[in-house]
Amino acid sequence: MAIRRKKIYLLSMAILVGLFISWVVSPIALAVTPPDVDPEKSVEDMYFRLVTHGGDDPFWAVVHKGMLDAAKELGCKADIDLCGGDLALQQKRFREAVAMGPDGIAVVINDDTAWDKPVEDALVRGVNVIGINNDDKEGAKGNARICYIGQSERRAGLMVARRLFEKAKELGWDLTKAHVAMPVEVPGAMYGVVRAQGVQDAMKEYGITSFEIIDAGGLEASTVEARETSYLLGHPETTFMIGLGGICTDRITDSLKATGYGPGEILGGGFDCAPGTLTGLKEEYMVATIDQQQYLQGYLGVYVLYLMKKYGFAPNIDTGGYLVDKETLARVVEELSPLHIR
Amino acid sequence: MGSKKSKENLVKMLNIHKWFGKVHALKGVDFEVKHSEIMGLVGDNGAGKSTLIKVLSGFHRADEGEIYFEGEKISITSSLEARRLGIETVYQEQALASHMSISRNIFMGREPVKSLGFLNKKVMNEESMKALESIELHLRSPDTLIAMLSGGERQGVAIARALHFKAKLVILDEPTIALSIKEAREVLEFIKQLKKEGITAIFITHNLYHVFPVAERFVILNRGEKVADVEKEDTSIDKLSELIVKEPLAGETL
Amino acid sequence: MPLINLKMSYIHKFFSYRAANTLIVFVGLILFFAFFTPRHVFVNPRNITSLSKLMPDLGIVALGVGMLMICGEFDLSVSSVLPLCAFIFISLLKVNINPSFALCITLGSGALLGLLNGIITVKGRIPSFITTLGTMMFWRGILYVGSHMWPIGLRAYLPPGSVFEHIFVGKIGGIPVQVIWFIAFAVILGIILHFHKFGNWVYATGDNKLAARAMGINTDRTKTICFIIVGVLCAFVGILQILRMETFGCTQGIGFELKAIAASVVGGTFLMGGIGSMMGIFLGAITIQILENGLILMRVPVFGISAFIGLAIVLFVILNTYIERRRTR
Repeated sequence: MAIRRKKIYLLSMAILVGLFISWVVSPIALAVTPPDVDPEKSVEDMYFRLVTHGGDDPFWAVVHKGMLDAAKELGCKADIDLCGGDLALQQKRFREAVAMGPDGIAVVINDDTAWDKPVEDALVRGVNVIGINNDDKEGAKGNARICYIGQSERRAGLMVARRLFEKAKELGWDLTKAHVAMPVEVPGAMYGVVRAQGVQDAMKEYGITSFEIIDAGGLEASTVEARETSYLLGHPETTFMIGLGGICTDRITDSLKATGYGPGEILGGGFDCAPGTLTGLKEEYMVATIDQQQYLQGYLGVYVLYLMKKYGFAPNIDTGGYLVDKETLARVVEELSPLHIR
Repeated sequence: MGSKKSKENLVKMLNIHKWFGKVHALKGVDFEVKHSEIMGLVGDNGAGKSTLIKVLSGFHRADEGEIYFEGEKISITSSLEARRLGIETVYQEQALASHMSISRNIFMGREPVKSLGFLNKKVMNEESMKALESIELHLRSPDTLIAMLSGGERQGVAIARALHFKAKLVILDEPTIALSIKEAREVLEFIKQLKKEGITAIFITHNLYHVFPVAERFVILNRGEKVADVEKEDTSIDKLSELIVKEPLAGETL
Repeated sequence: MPLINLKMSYIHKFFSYRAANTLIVFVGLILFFAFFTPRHVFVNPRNITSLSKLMPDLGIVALGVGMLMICGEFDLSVSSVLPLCAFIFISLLKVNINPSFALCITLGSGALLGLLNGIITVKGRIPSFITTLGTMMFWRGILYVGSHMWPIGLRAYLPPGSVFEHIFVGKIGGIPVQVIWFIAFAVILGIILHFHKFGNWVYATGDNKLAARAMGINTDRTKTICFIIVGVLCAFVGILQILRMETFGCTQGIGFELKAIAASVVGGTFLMGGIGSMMGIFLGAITIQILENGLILMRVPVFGISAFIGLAIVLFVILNTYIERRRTR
């Protein structure tokens, strides 16, 4: 038992060191409430819970998998709540989770005010709460969560758009006449809004003014493809198509083919590594996609909560913004995606 | 076949009792229908005429009593069985599907088919026109929707249907209710045609002025009991209406 | 005189034909979009091809849902039965089962899921709206747990270019096979609905259940068979989508439950049952999708497109109700 725990300790330290080297650690990690620490507690007795707004999305399956892997390695228990975007339900699940008195909760902070009080209450009751996947706009100032693990959506949008525009510049395109189409599954949802802002940041850098956000009609792939194809046919001025979500990005390649574009005639890009997106990267319809590395959100969520309970660590970790293109595709994604790690 | 038929009554119901919970709806009713007669079953609302007829058409089961059909004792457990025996009921609202054509309604559930169960529309159309004409109902096309017909014509279609399938007994449950005077007169004409075809019918109504000209015999129910069973020659509308409204001795109500 | 009569009867027949108004609007929409989309891109072969490849997904489901609606029942569970059957199909391929055999099992599973909807509805005597709302949620939950919501790529289990795949998502003379399936299903179901005695039972059950029952039609069985047909069609589309997109995704079919109802209603099917036609449902399913496509091609802001579609559906129902009332007056 002792050997195993030592192993786990070493492993977690190695990961933390690795993270410190490779990722930006927020300089304003000011935890208002110090975490509840219990160095005596055995890891086998520990229980953590992830309260998310996730649901109808393969994305969350990967977060789930990360959580399960971490729990298995550590030997603790962990569960995930998927609330399908229902904030009221998510808050109910959160209260229930707090009432269970777990050793830590990771919550998706998908509202700037609604989570302020629940999180404070939980901390007062001695339950460690961290944010994952989405944070308060003002970070630690806006919410009392002890730390945050996730990607900056805005920066991710900026990164993928920059890559596309840079490629267009290399090809010698006149970017003043460029038109950016951005399909999104759920218009108005936080992820799409913030990512679109990132794309617009990049547009400013490159002097692009024309864009349109497209209501792709939901999560159903045929509808998404029909709307993207129709849009491309009706808007021949389109030069870039950036899917703001995984399903929209997945369907871009087939839509471009259906419209009659060859590889590289319109530059595609977007988010996540769904099978259609990977095909698009290989066939060069797609230039780049952002891998959120959401596995880390589940995996590190559990590890950070464990280390917090054990030693009081409270690191802020940016897991995101890994830009996948044709070169990195095989090495990074193709080997791991079938394992549901990417 | 003929000799037996003429001796026996078509329908004989003996000592029929029916309770709904504590309500005694039928109190030992005896009831007969002769071959090829139009019989008027008359009574005020709640007199038990519908209950009696539902027992005969397999909708309800009697709690006590015996039913004979063509001289044989039977127990009718479903409307399907009643139809198999040759008892057709023409209900007010339950008879026809209003957005379907006349021919589809007439053959509903008993469609003439070619191979593999495909409808034989030619036979359906011809036969349904023939059936309508046999009761002197002249409509333009068998494809006309029921919803486009008048209330009287609808009843005619339902009656023609019973006729077509060679029903031995047609039960007409309030066929003139909710009809205009003109439409009601039409329906009465259809019923007369029924008689010409030699079909036995029970005409249930609380409107004596409708039933008196067409029926030959009248059975009057009052509070679940038979209070009269008379031939037309022996009575008049006035006498009958007295019997209908006469207050019986104190008893339970429906 | 006879000639005039003949002409009149043709015109009369056309307008007494239930799908007439849908057909008129359908043709009108096509002409409108053909003329008024920029560069006539609506009739561009690429657009037609793309439409005929994608429309059958919802279309085939709507054919079954519409027939069930004529019978007086709803099926909301299509959006879960479809991906569940798709998951069953890919799971079978995963364990090396022959694709044709997997197809049979999947269609059988669809039939079973439909049967279950039917049995719960007729034996439990509850509205199918509730039954299938329940099964929609139930099967979706089962699907999420079973599939862990992970997409499953097809290529690991079925190499590209197989005959099996061509039968479902190939092309015949440049025409996507999917649209041929769509038409085939519409024709088969249309023949059953309009020329077979079962169709007569479907109409009678939906129009006046008491009359149908009094006339000896087993309305419970009629409804259940309609539910089974919907289940089988969902399974078929589930497989179709996997083969086309080369991946299983647990969001397949989401939203189909209401869109299929909308398609049927646009095609002249009444929510209360008893009224509708297969031609109408077929045209309705195409019309709502063409409407979406045409509007985007017309460069309507895609963010507000739902507003137009919603408006169109309501206008259609008002038109259909008006015409039906005129017809039966």
